[in-house]
Amino acid sequence: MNQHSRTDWGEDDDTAKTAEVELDSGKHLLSNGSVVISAITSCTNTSNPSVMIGAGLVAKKAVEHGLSVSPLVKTSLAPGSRVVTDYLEASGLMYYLNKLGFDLVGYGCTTCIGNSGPLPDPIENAIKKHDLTCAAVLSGNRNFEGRIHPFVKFSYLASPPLVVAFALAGTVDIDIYNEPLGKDSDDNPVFLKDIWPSQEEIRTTVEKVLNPELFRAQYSLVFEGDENWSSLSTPKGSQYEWEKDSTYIQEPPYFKDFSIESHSLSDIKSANVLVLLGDSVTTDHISPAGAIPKDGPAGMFLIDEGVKPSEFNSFGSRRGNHEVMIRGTFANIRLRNQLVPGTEGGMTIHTPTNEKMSVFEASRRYQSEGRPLIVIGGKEYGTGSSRDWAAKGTALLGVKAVIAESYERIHRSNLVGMGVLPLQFKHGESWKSLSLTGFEDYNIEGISKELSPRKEIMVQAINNGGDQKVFNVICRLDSPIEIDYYRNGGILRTVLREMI
Amino acid sequence: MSDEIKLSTYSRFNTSAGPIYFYSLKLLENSIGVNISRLPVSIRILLENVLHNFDDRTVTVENVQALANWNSNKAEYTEIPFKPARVILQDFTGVPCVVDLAAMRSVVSKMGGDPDRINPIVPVDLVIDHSVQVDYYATSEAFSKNVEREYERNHERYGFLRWAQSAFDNFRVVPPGTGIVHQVNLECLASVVSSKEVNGDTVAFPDTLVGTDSHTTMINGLSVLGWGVGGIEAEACMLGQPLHMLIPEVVGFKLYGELSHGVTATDLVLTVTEILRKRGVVGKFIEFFGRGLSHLSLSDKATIANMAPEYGATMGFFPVDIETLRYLKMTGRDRKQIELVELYTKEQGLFRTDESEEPIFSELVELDISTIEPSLAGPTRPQDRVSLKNLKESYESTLKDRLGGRR
Repeated sequence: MNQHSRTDWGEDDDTAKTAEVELDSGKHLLSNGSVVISAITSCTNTSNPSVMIGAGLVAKKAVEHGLSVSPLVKTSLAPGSRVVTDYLEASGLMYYLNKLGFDLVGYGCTTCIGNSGPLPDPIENAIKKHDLTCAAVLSGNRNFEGRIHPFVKFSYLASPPLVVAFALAGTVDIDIYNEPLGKDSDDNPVFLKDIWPSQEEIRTTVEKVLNPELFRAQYSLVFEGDENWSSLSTPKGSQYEWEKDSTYIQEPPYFKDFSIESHSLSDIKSANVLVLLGDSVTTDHISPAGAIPKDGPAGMFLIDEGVKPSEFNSFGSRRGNHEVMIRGTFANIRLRNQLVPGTEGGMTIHTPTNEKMSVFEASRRYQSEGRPLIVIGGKEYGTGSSRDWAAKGTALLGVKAVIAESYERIHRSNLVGMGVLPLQFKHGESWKSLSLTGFEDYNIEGISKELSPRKEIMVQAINNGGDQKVFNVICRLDSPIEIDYYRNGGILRTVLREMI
Repeated sequence: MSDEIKLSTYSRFNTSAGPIYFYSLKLLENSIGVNISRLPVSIRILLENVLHNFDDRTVTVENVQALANWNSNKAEYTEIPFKPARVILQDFTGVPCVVDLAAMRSVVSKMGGDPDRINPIVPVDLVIDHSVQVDYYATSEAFSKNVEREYERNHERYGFLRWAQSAFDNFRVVPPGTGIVHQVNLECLASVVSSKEVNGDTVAFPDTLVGTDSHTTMINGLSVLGWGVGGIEAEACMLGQPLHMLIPEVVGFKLYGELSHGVTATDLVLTVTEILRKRGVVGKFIEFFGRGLSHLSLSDKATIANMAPEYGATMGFFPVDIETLRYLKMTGRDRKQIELVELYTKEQGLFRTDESEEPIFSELVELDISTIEPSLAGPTRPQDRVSLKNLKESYESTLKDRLGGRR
């Protein structure tokens, strides 16, 4: 069964672990290194006719040599445009891709962004039970651990023809130049070189099947969609009829008590610290993107709304519902809030009562008490991808200002865009150097009068014993336009006032 | 300062469809006395953007001066306002942007105003590509069944987007099951050079954009300036606000030679990613140049541009050349549009040939394409390239380290 040589590391060695898996097609051996996902996916490569035709030619030659793909491999073809399947059909190569299991699964991001779907249960179970390190080989652009599939530890990015080759090999534990991919009907070994197309073959096939008409035909209909799309029940009218019971789309409260005139600016008085953070807090700490935990505020909210955990979907797909997103803000379990050292993310202390509760609950409590909130952070606050919900969620939790040692550029600009004031400790100062605990009452003065870019602003921190510390911070509104955004309560309100 | 800087650079050329007006970089060079012609092409396109959007309020003469004086020798800490010509969205990040627009309409209406006045000011295209999952596979019914599941899961969001498509001006939706935003942009949406009517003149300018997806850079392969931004920035751009950015350093990446037999553009991009990640190019533009470009297809360039976030750069830019025109023809673009791209870029000195004078860059990297070998990258980071011939060895040692670390 096992046609590939393996390095011998001794009998007790975990590296050569193997498990038997029973599928509809029979029993199969799953090992470390087994390819369980083989995906021709991603705009990175499916936009390139040479490699797509290359993959088709590899499939054709493999089929002609009598090779096949093991049922352990989840094979998929998901191009980024319909033109691709048109030219694969026109070249006759689609037939061979299908023969190997590379049937069309969709036109979209699929496996490349982790939408690879589940593996067959027996495979997932075997991987978990035996702690197997199985592999994905995909023509995508990212492969961070767990991104492609939660149970697939190794993901290799490769060209589409190599994706097909590794589906045939069924393992990444192979010297693919010297070991055969399989055997033909006469039991002769078949090697990569036997099925690898020449540059000339690829070029002539591309030239034969690609033409402007193919693109015109598909793209003249690009905004049309299929029957599913045209038969969607769609509200009419120039305003959206917000549905109260939708758990995906809700009217966001950014314009609550909006007026044509902007309010005059005021100082921040008697603010509490919602969370006190260390260095390098990422936007993913502030607003996580993945699965929605059942027992967190967002999960409990969805359950209350009648959504089963199996239908939670991800934070990503629920970004149109601020109620879910606010509850997810600062709820990442990897966030370390120094107000409650030693706990996982999402918890904080409500200072007036010294009660421990979720960040969301505390925010509600403070807001009902009419108390403004601030966040205190360290260096590189808001680093990572430019996730807008990190700033939106902060604003909607009632946070009026953030004080940090330094900011990631985009997150700082997003905070301004949402009307949250970014303040920066003076060089060499930090909440630690100033011996702040986060349980003080904070007054921030110098906002109401003559606010200007990079102005120094005075902060007063008063602890419950009445002792006060006074320090200056730099207002990180960096340009007159940002002052304007802030005065208006953010970009959306600024633009809205201009449009009305 | 008045409109002087725009008036003194306003120029025209003739096409088979009539005269085209534009803001000339050559005239700008004369008018401000700064040598622009050897700036990186990507910087010149930014400069044109600032020039043609000059309004003395959000975009000032100082901004034009700052870019024209772009200096290859030092990092600049000057911000400039970039006004992209259009915005692209995908459905994960795009839905909240559209929700915000809908909320703006609701509030205008509550205040007794006309909600129809709220629209994107620059054209916006949203491509629904992020929601389809591979539930069914290896069967001829996989596509239709996956689409069915996708609609079951997402009909609320899709109904909303379909409403938005009919309700807003300047807003189009590419329905699910059509394609991936960056590939649809490459094959159909991007114009390379755009034009619009201004006071009766047809004024041309380079196509530029931002997108709410990090791989927006793929369009740099088609010489369109653009990259991924966060949702709030995208919303601001949709509503006509500029994107404030630091003037970037530009790394010139010289390519020469051609791919060997059996080697693909994927192997090339994985190698480029490895090289640039090691070097550290975060926050910088990469601009490719050199004779090697003449041996790459446009699709090859798009593959390389696509992975800019993996190599860490803001962009991976390729200037327009003869291959760009060929690709526009092959993908069925309008003949007059292709003529506009050719004439405009030649007129502005933006069209690359093997004889073009090399721009002056902040730093240089070189790669002989003929040395590229078949590769993979992994198992957990895109910059960890593994030569195909070393895969077994690399896999085994990585696995051993892992298991060893766990004990």
